[in-house]
Amino acid sequence: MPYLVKRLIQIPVVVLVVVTLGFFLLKFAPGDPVALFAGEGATPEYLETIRKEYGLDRPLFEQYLMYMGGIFTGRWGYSLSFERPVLTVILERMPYTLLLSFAAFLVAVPMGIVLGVIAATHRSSPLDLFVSGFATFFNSVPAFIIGLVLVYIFAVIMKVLPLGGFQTVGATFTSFFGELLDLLKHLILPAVSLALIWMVGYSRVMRNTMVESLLSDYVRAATSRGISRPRVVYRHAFRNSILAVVTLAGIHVGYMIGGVILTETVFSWFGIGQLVVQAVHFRDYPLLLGILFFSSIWVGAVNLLVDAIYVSIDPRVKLR
Amino acid sequence: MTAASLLEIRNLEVQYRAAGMEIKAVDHVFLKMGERECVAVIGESGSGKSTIANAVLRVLPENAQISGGEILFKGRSLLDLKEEEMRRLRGKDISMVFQDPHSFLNPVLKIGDQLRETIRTHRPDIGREKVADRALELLTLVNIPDPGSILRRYSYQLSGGMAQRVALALGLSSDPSLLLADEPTSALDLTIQAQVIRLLKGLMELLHLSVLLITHDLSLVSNIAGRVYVMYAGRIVEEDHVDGLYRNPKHPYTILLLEAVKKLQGLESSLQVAGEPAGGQGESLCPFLPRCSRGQPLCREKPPPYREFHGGKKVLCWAAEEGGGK
Amino acid sequence: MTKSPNRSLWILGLVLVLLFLLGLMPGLLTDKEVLKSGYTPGLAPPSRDFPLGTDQLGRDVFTWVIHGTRVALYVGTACTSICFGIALLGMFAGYFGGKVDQVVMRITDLTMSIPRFVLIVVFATLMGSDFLNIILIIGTLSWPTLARIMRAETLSLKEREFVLSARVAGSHSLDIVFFEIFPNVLPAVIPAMALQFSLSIIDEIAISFLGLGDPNVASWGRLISVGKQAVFAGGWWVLLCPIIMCVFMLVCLNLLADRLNDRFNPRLRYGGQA
Repeated sequence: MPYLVKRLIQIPVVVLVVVTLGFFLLKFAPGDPVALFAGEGATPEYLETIRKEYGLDRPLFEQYLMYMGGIFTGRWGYSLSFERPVLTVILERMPYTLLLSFAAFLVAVPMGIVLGVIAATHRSSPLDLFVSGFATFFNSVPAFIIGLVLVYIFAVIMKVLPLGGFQTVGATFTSFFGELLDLLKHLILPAVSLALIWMVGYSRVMRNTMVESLLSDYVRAATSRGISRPRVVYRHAFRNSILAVVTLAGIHVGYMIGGVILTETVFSWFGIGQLVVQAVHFRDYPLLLGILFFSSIWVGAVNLLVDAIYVSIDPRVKLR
Repeated sequence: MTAASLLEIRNLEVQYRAAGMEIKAVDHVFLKMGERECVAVIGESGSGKSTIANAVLRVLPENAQISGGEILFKGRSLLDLKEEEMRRLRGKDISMVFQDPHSFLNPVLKIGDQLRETIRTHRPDIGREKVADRALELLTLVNIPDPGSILRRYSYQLSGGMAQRVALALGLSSDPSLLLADEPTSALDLTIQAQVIRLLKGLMELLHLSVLLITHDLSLVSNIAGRVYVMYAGRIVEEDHVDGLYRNPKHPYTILLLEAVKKLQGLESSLQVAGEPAGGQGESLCPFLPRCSRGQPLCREKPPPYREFHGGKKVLCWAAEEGGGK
Repeated sequence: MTKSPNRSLWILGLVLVLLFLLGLMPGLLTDKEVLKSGYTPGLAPPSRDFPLGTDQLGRDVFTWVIHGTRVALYVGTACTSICFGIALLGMFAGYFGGKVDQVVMRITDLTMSIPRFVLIVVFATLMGSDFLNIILIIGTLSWPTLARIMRAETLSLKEREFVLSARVAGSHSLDIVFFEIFPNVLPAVIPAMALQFSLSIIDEIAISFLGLGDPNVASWGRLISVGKQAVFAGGWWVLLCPIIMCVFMLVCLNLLADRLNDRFNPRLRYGGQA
């Protein structure tokens, strides 16, 4: 239990560090964001007014405290390019990213597990080698490249699926079902791109841990007691592998935001990933930093969740 | 030998494929056991003794193959059985216990779960209460105090001796007639070792059980075994009753072992004899030739036969002589 | 699997070396200047003069693809070296333990708690798109994994006899770290470094694709993003050629890393079954 508490404390600490880092980055970044925001031809008085409004004329330490206080109370600054509070913009986009990731998971995890189990139970057979080759390929290539190829094939050549976005612009739908179908059509390609990459990880992890289990003494022991093979594979080998799958899932979900940036860009998917690129394009530093904070918190929270799951699955972990 | 034969192994050959080579781990091995008998197989690590046990239950690793011979259990040939029939035999008529109880037990399952699973394997229609009772019964059988709380624990929470007893309980859950004990005490402290051996002896009496004890530890053998087979490089080099072996060893290897034991008396009685078995001598000559100090010209020409001596002793050696005994 | 792992290692190594040599001496295959626009009025399909066609601004795709190899080589080498240098901290942390270890581990954990790519993007935006900057950023943000591996190896090596005997003989701590521990940490670390090599390349391609890369550098990422637009005007070659090349190189690198892993690590992982 104290271990989980330790993890819980880590989150604010990380946020503190990241916020401090962000604050100083902002201060020492080349160029003056205020001038950028105000645009060309802005008079010095106008710039002064803006500075006053944002408290940029106060001493550094005071600014730091104000900034920090703001972060912890949800006031993450104002997005210059979207003209709305940073946190609002971020939270607006989050559901879309979650939808994409969830869809990708739905494909990646079961498929990965199945492939992994097949590879483990048919070791060194052509099936295993095929899965291996498949895995190596999709392991080397980033998701966005897969995405680009898929878009090219299905959207440009075959014109079967849309090029991007999450809904067809300007279309009206007669029913909820129609709307859903449209969403799905837009969701397929990006989700599959991500899923292909993630799937490989799960299959590899599953295969490796199961092979290790299947060669272990306790599996041999279970077999020697007359327990049937399918049961041995499931109860004694498979279950011990679930932990590794959870670990990997934790990593995928935790680092999700970084992972989807490119894929969302390729598919113009209205999520946080694409937001990052837009923020970069507009040099919208407050937004950028806001995303940074958000992702750090996200990673921390997911790690905590994963640890809690660990403890409930593997009894040995309790001893920390 | 005497009595109705429980287990009979004839001319068993087992080969391993390792690093592109075929290695014969078990070479023309023979063994006989009756009911309520304890027979020991002694040898160094790598002598192939564990392989025999794995072969009987047909739980050899993937790269091993039984390439010849017969294994008869209560008259039935085990090698002819289909996998499903073999599975029904495992744990029910023949059970096995290994060396390291902590790797024998599944680390993420509670003891109770594993015990109940094993009980149900051979009696699928037994009721839940009966299973629970049986589990407690088994733990008590192996002298585990407070069995109820042990059921809720995990293997890593138990001491070596305790875990090994749980492993025994698992093995005995369906009342087998034969228990293959593969180095059951090697991973345990000296004092616990004696306890476990005594427990085994008691169980043999109580449950009408035969035990095939595989070990490298000579001191255990005299306490519990009736007959002994000495193995070297995959072959049986001497077979005899326990006293006959101790008082009148005939094979040069056996003699070396006993001398080594005497030298290490009180400290450790396991076999650390100088030299190593050369892999794969081929079927041509005596496997012990490179290490033997009593070699005779004949040894370099022809493979030795099994020679019988009085008292039921068999020795694979040209140089063994009649008489003697200390 | 007796002869094959070593053989495939050599073949892969050879292929990659060839690729990189190609990148270092582009003049062998092409006489066009990379990134120079105007070779053709606009998008032009593959022809004898331009084996892989040109993009919307008349830039030669073939030359770009070849130069991209060089960029990848630079990126991979530089970033991995920087990463390696910083990761040595892990070795020191493992050996000296105590406070040093605590501090290093805290920093490592902290760095790992932030999604790496987001951080890379943020830094790249703030610090500018200079090629050097990009390399520095990628290199400095990739060290945690490598550092952890080094630390783990060091911890297990610390207790081995040859280290103890060096201590008993009165060797200075730093000497021990460099002469006893370091050479033995290397084998475990090499596969991870090979992986980092390909990850750095991917990072750079991603950054360039997003438009954050150095505009004067002929990165595949930039070509791919140009290609994405070109496809709508029918210019499939601009997109597919760099993708094919880049996939090929990445797959080779990954296979190499795998084989290296088999060679240097298996004894530690998969003990044989007797």
